[in-house]
Amino acid sequence: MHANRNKAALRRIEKGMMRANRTRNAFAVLAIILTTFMITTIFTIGVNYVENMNLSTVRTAGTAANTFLNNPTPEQVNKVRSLDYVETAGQQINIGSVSQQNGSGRELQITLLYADATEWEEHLLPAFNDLNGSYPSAEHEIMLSGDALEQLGIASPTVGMEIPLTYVDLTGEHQRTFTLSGWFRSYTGTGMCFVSQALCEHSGCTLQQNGMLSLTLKHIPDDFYRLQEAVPADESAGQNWAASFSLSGGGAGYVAAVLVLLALFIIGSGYLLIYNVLYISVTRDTRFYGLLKTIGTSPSQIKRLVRGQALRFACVGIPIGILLATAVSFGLIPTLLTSAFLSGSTDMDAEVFFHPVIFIASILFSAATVWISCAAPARAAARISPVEALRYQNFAPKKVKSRRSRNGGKPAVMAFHNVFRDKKRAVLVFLSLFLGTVTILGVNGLLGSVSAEAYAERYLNYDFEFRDIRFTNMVSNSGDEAPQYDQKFVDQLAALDGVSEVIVNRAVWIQLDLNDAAIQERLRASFAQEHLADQGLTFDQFAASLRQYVEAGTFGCYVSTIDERYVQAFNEAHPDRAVDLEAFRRGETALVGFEDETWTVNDTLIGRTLKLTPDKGTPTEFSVAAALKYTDYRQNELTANREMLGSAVPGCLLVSPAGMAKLTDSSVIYDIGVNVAQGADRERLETAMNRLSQTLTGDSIAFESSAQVIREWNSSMYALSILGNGASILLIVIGLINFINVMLTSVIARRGELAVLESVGMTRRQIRAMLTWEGGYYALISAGLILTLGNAFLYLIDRSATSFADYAQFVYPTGLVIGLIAAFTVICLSVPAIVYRILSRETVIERLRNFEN
Amino acid sequence: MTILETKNLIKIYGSGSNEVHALDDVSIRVAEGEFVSVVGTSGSGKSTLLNMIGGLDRPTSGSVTVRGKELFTMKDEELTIFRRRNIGFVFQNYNLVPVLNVYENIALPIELDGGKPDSAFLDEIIGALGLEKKLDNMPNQLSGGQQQRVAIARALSTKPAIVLADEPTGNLDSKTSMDVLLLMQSVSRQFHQTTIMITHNEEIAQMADRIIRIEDGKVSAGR
Repeated sequence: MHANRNKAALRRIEKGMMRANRTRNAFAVLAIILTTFMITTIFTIGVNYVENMNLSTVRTAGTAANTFLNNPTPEQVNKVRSLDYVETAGQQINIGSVSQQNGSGRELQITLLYADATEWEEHLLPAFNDLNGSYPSAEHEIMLSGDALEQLGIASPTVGMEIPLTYVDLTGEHQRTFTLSGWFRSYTGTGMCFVSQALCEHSGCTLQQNGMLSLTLKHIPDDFYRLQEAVPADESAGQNWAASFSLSGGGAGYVAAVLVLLALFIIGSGYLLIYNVLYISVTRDTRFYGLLKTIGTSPSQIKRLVRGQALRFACVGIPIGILLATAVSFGLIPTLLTSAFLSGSTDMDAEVFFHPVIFIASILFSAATVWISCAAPARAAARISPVEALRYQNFAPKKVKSRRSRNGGKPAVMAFHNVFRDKKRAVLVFLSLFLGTVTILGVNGLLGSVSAEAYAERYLNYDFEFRDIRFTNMVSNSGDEAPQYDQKFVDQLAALDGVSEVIVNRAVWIQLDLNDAAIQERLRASFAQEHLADQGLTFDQFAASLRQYVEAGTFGCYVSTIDERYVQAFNEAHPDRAVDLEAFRRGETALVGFEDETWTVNDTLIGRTLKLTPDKGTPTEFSVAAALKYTDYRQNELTANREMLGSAVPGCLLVSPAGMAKLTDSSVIYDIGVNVAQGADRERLETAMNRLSQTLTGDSIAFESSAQVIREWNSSMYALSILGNGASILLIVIGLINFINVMLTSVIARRGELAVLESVGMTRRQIRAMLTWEGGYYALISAGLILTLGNAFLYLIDRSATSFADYAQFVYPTGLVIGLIAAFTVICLSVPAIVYRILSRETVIERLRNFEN
Repeated sequence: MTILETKNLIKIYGSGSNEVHALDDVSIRVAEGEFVSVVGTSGSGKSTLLNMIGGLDRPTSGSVTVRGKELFTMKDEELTIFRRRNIGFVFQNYNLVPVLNVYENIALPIELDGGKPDSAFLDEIIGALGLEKKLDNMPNQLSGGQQQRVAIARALSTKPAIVLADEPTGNLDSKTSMDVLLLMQSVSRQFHQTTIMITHNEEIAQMADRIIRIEDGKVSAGR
């Protein structure tokens, strides 16, 4: 057998075909550019989203380490370091704290810390930003966090500047002038002052007494459990293993799922587009391929011919697509993601990650799309039989059935049959027009359903709010209740021009009497609703397990003041369970909160009298007037407790200011709501309040501003709308390109047939009318799909919008629906006739002759 | 009565040294009801002549008059409408519209003219061409001979002044060719239909009432 020695000939044919089909080449390359562009953009944004999510977690936690042991012994440290699943192990020693006051007479809260090299480089640096200078090496050097600089009133730090500090360590109070070796920005809001190893050693602090071991484990939580067994913590010495589990995983998973779906969708559309261009080109060249076969080209050579052309398109289209996507997405990411990650009062700057994997994946996916797209056309070209090909007529339907009709000659009817001549293409055009439009409608419907105002109203209690997060986060605060706000601050807020009211909520922790009959009855209800018996527990065991808290003096909950208007609102919502406002105001009754709608544990307390015992103050009896559900009150209710006792104690008790006064005079301000007069300049007030809050030194301060929320909301919605509409516009463009492509090629391919029609007496006007009808059918059917299936989809979005954001109000985008349908109808109606006009310059006979040859 | 007259038809393709005189001063007359064949070798200009008569192509100079109406003084749109009312074409490769069934193809020119098909007349043609059982079929369900019979029916459907047939049997085997020609001959007589048929085949040409010979763009006999 002879080997095929015609590679050079084939290459010449391929080159010739490339030269002969410039329009098709442009279409194909454009299709590949579009596909690559979209895939790369999606990957870049996806990877950056996940990376920034992780970064945000690390920054909020203040460390990249995920496992911690306090006060470790040298033996424990050595043991831990020898374990192979411990990736990094760093040490941090708490030296003491700054003991100075600021201009407003408040204690500074700056901790002196020493971190070893691993701790600093592997765990802390990833959580910091804007690092200047270097870690202190000499004893007189310090490095400060941005919050520490702020507390010290240093606006423009320089390396080498002198900073006098008064601080307390194990050996007592010291006054010393330090040299600033560097500073950085952290996102935890705590004042940190890092010191050198030398200072640490002289302070008398040791790892075992004042330190913490931080680790990075490979697999959380599995390795964490192994570690606890391998190196047990000595709990009698107050040691505890702790690990931070990523809570944001669910969110990242959701985003990843959406992105994967989007990517699949884009690959799908890209496939259709490239496939369409190549397939049309193959059908158009059918006679040519048949001719090649008659002169001895083998099917596999013809396949290679088609693939070779696709390869050339890919070589041009993929790099351009990637370059475009890189430029666009890297310009877009900071805007897009900065607004997506906010923590407390600090904006987090999103970092742009450059991952080679994005580009490798994009190239692979785009190349795969091209490869798969050209497989079917290549096979089709290879299958063409020479005899068939020479007699081949474009668009002749493959399978035909007789049709009992007598009115097919009308342009409108002929147009209808023409649309469905190649069902695959027709479906392609419908699908892409439909999908693009519905995506735009979905994105805009969703964006339109949520407004900044609705969001702010739903989630903000006041125009501005200062909270103490130790009280409003659902955590054990272990009794750390040092006041973050004082009356002076409240007065300063009230004095601001434009502030209409300041609502101060105070809290005090009280002890409950476990033996009280009402508490016992409540406990039984809790025991039943928690299904503790299913876990093999008896009620007595359950009650006994709470003894240790009684003995430790931590069996109780917080009592908070509540603004009277919320009690009034409760009365209006539940007239059958209305609270006697007068008695409440006098401080005789309390409300108990908060439970889900389905829980009734707190209901057992209604009408009962509880004796509340504060640490400092007067034990006082309150009658419980009502039990509040979560939905009856605000979002950031008091949720903390000194110990996490679950449903064994009420979440909190709510009293009037008079009630609080009866209990104690040393309650803590944990929440300050500020409402402003209508038309007040919120931006100016926000600046003023920010300036005021900078005089505060606490590290548990959270400031929420409606102005900021609305601003951030609008900017993130803006970014989302750019992204969503960008994607949908691309889809519509794909749809229209498909449509123009189909019309263009079908008019080109039917040139002969149209000439025949003209020869039997169809005027050009009639032909244009017929082609316009064809476009009209495409528009009509797509519009029909949008108004039926599309509306069903919008209805689903409507349903899901309220579950994804309960403040969402879906508005059917009527204007947009009409506008989009009108827009593509105009395009569909005008393109075919224009194409025909351009192509029908030759006389009938010239076109007839072309058709015949 | 003369239904068609050409006067000094000249068609020149190209220019300068590439100049080709496809038609060189051709003047012919055809009377109503006549069955004429135009014979010539390949490249003799017979198809060009047919295209001029059919108003598909414009001459360099000279005139074509059908039913007393001068073709090339009309605008494109007007010419197309005149053509679909007065001239029926039968092409070598049938040129049926693939999305229409047999009946619709036959009635298409009437439909295009906005008229109502004269169903008695159509039935007559369909009967004469033996297409009664094929009316619902699509063109590619038919054999070549059947397709050509549909094309003939389509050409006759508007009761045109002239039927122009360009190598109507060029794609058919000899037996089918003969069947189709006999049909053409008989319908021409039955409907008193003026028919001009182009062919390079002497034997086929002999079936006509008169033969016009063309050589190098000039009429050499049968004017």
